[in-house]
Amino acid sequence: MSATVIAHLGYIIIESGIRKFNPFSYSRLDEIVNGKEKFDIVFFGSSRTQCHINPCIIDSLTGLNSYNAGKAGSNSLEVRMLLEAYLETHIPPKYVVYNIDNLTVSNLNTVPNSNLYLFFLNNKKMAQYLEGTFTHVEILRLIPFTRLLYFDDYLRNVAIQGHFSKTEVLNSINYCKGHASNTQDTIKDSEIVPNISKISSPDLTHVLAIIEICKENKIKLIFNSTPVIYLNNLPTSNQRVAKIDEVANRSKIDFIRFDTSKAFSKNDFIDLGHLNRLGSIKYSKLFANELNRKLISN
Amino acid sequence: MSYTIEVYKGNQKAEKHLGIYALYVMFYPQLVAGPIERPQNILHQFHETKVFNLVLFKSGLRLILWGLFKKVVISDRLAIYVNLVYEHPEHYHYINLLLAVLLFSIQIYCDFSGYSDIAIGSARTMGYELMTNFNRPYFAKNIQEFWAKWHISISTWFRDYVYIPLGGNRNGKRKMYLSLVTVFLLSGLWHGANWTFLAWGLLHAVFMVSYLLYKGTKHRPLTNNFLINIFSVVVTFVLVSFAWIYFRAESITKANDIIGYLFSMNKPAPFVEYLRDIKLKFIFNKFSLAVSGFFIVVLFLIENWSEPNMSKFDDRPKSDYIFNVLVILAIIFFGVFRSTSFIYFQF
Repeated sequence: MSATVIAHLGYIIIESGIRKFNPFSYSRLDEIVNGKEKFDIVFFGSSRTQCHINPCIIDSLTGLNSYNAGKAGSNSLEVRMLLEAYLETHIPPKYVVYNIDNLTVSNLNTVPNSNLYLFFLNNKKMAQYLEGTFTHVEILRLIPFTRLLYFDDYLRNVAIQGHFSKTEVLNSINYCKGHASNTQDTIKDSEIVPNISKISSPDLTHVLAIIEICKENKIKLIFNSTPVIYLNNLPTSNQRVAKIDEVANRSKIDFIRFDTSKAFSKNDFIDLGHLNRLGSIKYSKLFANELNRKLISN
Repeated sequence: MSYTIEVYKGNQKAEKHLGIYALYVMFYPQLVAGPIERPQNILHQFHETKVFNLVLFKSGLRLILWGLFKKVVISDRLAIYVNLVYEHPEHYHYINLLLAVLLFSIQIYCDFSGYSDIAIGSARTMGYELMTNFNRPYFAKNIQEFWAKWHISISTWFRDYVYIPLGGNRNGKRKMYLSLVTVFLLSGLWHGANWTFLAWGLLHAVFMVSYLLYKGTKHRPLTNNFLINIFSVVVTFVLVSFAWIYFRAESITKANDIIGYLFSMNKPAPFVEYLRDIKLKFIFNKFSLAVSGFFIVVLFLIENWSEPNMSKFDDRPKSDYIFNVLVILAIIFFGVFRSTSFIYFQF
């Protein structure tokens, strides 16, 4: 009995620590999963969405009300889950922009970093998707301290840091409606090396499902690819983008491509795959202009 | 096998009751992964009338909790790091490799002895006493002592049914060493038909023979010297950890690669280090290492104080209660529940 009471109190303390450490991540997930605000355009994808697309710039240049629902490390399954969870509580947006990168076409069939979603099991769609990841999702939903069994050391560490007033918030970062830019550091020359990692064969199962979900909800889906620091050393990225190109053409989906853009130099990047703060501002402006062009032409 | 041999040798009367015999063969606490019980120890217990004993029941539950603690708090946490490093050793700095090698020694101890504790505890709740299987093996001062403390049920099984029938130490030193090599090679094969297990067995054979040769010389250490004892314990631990490389690796080539990277002080390319560091940040960071380190120290302190069967708590109800609550909380707050089954289930 005493262990149960202590476990329950402990869970409350850990959760509050995680909220304190991750005020930004927690609140944006809360908006995506539980929020009610009506957005015209929502951006989904991995960290290349979250760090690159600034909705405030998009809003000011397009007149739309946008939200950045990108999540670091998301594969296509997680994006599909977030999209359905979003649609469970929100009025469907007019547009969904889905960022294409390596993770989009990975054949991983588990939701990465799923522990963060333990706090959002009240969303039925989310709970449905997480049935494969957590056993007895219903028990986890109804008896919160049982979620302790799924906490990993990363979450525990974050909870402790949160209670020591440390947070994930860094200086010189732009925050706006789900967007968090990187800092203004730039990539060093020594860090620009070829990516020789092996990549598995592309899997478009969830991408095709996302296309269907958007069709059912009468949402105009747009694909986009963000700038990369080098192209010639990433032949496999070219293959993946080509696969998505094929799907986009077949399904008549607009594909706004920046992976071949010459507008970005290495000074716009913080690492091989991500733009820094100024890079993301430049990108958001260019993207807003492309968006206007596409929306006007349609 | 031991039942058949003991009955044949006349050390054990054949069991005439089919139900008792079936219970002996299928006794669930030790059926899957031991301890490997001799009929002399357990059969007579099945003939005794058992009455519920609260002290034994609580003692058994305590041991089950302790075994679970070792498995989910320590072993499965260490497995995260060890599995990462052993999967792609070329991606890791030699310090990471060294850490993985040492942590695997702790992982396998906690995994296996944890299971044994759960098995012994389960039997004890019903009033049955199984043999102790681990007795603080990493405090052994030499390889001979190590094997008297590690997986005691199987090491004594090999001693009684292989080593002694082969002649033991009765037919001269050369034959004794040959018998030892045979025992260790068989012990390796017992784990599986893989060259890595044979290599592991062979290494232990080499260590054991080398130790016995050294013991036979006139140069003996000062056994009551504290520093010498510490040194002996450390050397024994290092040798055993080295042998575990072959036990854990998927192949001889991979084991040799790991050893090669260790001795050549491998440092991976910057991009590889970058990707590796991102992975480690989320999967096994400094916090994980600190938690592991803390609980390893707790483990060794408790086991050093309480003896393997945790019987010191039997006369200390308040300490017992606090201990149980703390262990339960450690399991709830720090347990790793998305991990593997027990390592020795595969054997």
